[in-house]
Amino acid sequence: MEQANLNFLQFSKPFLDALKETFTMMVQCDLTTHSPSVKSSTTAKGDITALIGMNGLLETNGEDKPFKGLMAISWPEEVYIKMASKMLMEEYTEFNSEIADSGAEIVNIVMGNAKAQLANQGFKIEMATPSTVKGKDHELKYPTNTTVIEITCSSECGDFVLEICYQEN
Amino acid sequence: MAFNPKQKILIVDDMSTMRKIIKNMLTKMGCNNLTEADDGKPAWEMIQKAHEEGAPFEFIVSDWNMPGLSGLDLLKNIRADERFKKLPFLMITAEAEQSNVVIAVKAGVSNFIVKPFAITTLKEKIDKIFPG
Repeated sequence: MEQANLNFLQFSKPFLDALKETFTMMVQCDLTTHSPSVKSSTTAKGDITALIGMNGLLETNGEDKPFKGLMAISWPEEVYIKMASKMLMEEYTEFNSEIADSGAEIVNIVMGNAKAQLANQGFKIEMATPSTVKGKDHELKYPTNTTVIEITCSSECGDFVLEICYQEN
Repeated sequence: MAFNPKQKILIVDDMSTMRKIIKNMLTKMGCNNLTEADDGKPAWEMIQKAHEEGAPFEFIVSDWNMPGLSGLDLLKNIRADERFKKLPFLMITAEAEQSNVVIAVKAGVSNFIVKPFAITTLKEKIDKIFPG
């Protein structure tokens, strides 16, 4: 396997670990993650996507190698509403302003925790502010020339997709 | 001084979800005098105004990363003002790096929580700020 792909694998694991911990703690439910696959389309799998971009430097053999990336979580609307209801301990039946940033908060927490774990592995990350996109078949804008992997996650709220992209410049 | 759940608390976070989560947790702990601000800038104005009106906030629970005035800058403003030098301030952040803790401690934070967290963690941190 190419070194860049190995770096991608090493880069992805902390996001999965952080997502599982965040779900256990903030949504009070366990998460099962499925095998990753390479995503070939830019269309979101879910109706609501929260995403956060990042830039950074990977320190290897005394050299700093720049990289860029993005993490996104895409939920079907009903899964998102169930998740937000559990997070906020209140029953919501539709997407509204009260739960509009619940997904972005999850992404923010996952990114912050993954960033700390990755710092121990030589990845120094500048994280951006999370944002949310909503709509059937919405398009996601990934950094150019990046490989995107997607991982389906199952929970009692339903299935959703974690996407991670990483590219060494 | 032990934590009095009836004291006036200000929750500062730009994300309404996290404000609501913190509010729910504090409510479960018996707190009922809770006010919210969606950024450090309005929070700083509210803290000064409440003091001038004779009903000061007694405890601040604030996020770190906010688009206007960050939690760290809010804390620095508070500690730079003689009136609020001892105002208890709990910082909440998603960034778990040790260096962040050091920065917050140097700025005079009373305690620090890394997200995600459970109500037990919030209670433990508050108990440390307000030892019985």
